Amino acid sequence: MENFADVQYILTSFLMLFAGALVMWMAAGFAMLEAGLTRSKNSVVILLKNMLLYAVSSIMFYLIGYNLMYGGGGSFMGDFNFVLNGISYGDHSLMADFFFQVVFVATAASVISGVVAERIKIWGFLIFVAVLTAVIYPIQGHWSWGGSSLGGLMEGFSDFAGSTVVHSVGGWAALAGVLLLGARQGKYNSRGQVNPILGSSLPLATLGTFILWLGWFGFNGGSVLAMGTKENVDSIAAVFAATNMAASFGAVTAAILTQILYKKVDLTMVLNGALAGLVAVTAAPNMGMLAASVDGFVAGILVVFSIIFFDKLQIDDPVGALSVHLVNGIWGTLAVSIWNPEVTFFMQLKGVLIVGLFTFSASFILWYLIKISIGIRVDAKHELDGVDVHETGLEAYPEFSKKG
Amino acid sequence: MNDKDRYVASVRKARAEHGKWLNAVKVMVSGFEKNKDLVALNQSESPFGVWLNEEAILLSTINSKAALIDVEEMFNECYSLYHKIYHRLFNTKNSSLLSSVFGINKVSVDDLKLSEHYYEELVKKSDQLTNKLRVYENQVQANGEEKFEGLYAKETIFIKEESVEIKTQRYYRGSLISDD
Repeated sequence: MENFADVQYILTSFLMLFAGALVMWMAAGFAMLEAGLTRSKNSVVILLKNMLLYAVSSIMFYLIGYNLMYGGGGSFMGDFNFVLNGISYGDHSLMADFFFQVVFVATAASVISGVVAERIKIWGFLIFVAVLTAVIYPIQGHWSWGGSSLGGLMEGFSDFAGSTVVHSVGGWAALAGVLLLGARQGKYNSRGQVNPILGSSLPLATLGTFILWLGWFGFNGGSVLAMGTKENVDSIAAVFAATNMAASFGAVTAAILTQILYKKVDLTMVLNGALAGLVAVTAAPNMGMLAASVDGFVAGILVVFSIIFFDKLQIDDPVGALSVHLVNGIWGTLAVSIWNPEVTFFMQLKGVLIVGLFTFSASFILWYLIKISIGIRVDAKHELDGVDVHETGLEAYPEFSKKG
Repeated sequence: MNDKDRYVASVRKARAEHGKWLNAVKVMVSGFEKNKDLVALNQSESPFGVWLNEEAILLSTINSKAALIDVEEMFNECYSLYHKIYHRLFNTKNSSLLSSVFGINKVSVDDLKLSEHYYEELVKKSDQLTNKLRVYENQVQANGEEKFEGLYAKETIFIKEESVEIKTQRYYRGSLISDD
């Protein structure tokens, strides 16, 4: 039996490491998607942000975040301790667990990068990411995945792989930021109409979406958190298949909807539709194919209308991350109550509201402090010229610029 | 009115549009107008820019290209000066906590003086531009009607065909793509 326990330990740790590596690859997906849906004059800063946010998240979550999330049994937050001190697991490797969790944190931070693209200052953004991943994300994560349930307030709340804990948190933090940041120059005219700012590379955006889709198998599949038995493996396989199905339904639904609404299929909406399906199913990818299909179908509708809705409010989100991660993170979390008889709608709603309120408030204060200290928005002239040249001195495609 | 007269009229109209544009910048610099969208930041969206890019450049084969290149360069310089003025007047950095909370974005005296200085340069550059436009107009007038009309008709057909093709409605993320 001792050998069997060892095998379970090895396989579960391997699952976390393998799934974590897949999720890490999502950082590349976010970078490509964001670069593709924005203008090439800002590509260097976008790539830089995505690279550094991953690095900053990794450092901050290791230094303090993991302990705040999983250390100890405090009601509001875990131990104020450092570098995983005082934490160990009997059934899998601590470092495998840390690695799997740290890539989730980076995912939440990546959501923000897309929303604030093309006008955010690099250092202001990175400071925000550092605090988010060290403090804000771990505290709210402690209430659900950390096991505290916030003194019973979030009792019964269910979020399998993070529709709320990861994706909505990224969405709320991004919403707070974009409200203080404002829209890109020229996105809305004086009559409130939208001037679409076209993305520079749809092939890149599509590649990014496929990378994210691939990474999501690790995101949801790894969240089974055990691979020691045949049932565990069945469960992982079912989650993989359900995840794939939700994305498929999201993409197809968005395609049909844009064909009906605009008489043409909008690829960017289809990309967002697939991602919306993935976000929605993340809260309960273990509930079977029908649940995943419905999650994805509704997500495909929601994402199209919410992109239009945010534009009506003049909330400028270049990549649609608010619609994908925030709106569908909420939808997916609430939908758990449809499929899981042990979960009620009220439990889910309460969890969504508590996490949302905390994350939005904390993020708003943090963004505001950064705004009045070092500033969050680049100068108007820099924005017009493209932030790449002014912030980095580089151009993504120098052969195509006038200076050549 | 023949094609040549129509084109000459469009040159004059473009000159007048540039005058209006200059006045709008003056209103901004003088502080009477706080609306930063009053003058388009993108030069191709201003009425003169539209004329230059769509009508003048397309019909440049019948005219002196050199004059038009000069006009284009001067217009670019005008816009560079306007961008400097815009940067001084509408810099998004809020100076204090209170101004940030209440959305007050008071322009500093230094910025105001600098924007006035840029405006003076802009007026000089605009004078050069309008003079060059008069030269251009004379060059157009010097062309024979037959030569002009033949080319104008051909280009007009080209412009119309292109417009019809682009006019089919296209959307990007739920928003209509403008063909203007």
